Amino acid sequence: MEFDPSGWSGEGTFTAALVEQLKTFDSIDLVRVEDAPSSRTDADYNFISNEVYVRFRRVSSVEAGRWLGVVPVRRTVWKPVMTLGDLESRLAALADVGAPDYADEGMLQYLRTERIIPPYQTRGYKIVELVRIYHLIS
Amino acid sequence: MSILGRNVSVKAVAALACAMIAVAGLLPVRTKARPREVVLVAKDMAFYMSGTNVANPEITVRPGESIRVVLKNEDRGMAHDFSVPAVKAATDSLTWNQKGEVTFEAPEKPGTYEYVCRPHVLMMKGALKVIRD
Repeated sequence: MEFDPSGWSGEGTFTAALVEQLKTFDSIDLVRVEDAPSSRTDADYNFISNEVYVRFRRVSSVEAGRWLGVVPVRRTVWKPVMTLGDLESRLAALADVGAPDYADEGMLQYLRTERIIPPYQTRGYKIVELVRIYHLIS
Repeated sequence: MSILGRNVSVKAVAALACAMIAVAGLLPVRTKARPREVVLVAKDMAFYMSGTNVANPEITVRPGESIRVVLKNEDRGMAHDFSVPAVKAATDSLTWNQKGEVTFEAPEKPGTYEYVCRPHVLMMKGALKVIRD
């Protein structure tokens, strides 16, 4: 399994936990994490936005077909062993990750918020962490 | 010159037309100016003025000016809206790739008001500045 955190500052405790889980999946052969350009900080909040790209391991199979509908041919086809939907189910079953807040055919999205109140302060600030998981085709 | 079978002088018709134009000019014009359009995009948990990359930009308006805000939600997986609580105006909640609009009149009193996305008030809020020319 290849792990590429070169584009990630390391911010985001949920992202870190999620990535550690993804690294243990046999069906994933690449995990790349990047800071999203939308990360920003204000007096009231710290918005951390990360993007995680995963590539699923692929297996080959030989399929029979007919060239121009006449000549019998055999082709080698590479197919991923997992889909984003399968990944969603696997992650949903993990206690420290859970089901995504949003999922479609191309992305899983987690949104986590946490209020931090430093010592001697009453209001504190909010950490908002947005993680989007995309399926890397190539 | 004959109108409806009666002979009327050209001078009389011209005088009547001039009088009607003069009276019409004195009447107050009741047509309303078209609202100024502001196009916003919601993405990455912030508002952006279309074509710029400043998050939650300041919108400057004149007192009582009619404004139409068009919002496009480009935030995949998030529902956003645009609301100005001071004038009780808001778009519908918009899902990804949906577009909505709201037309409102800016407050008459100059000052700084707030515009927000109601589900994400903490991160999606900006200033609506009402300034006299």
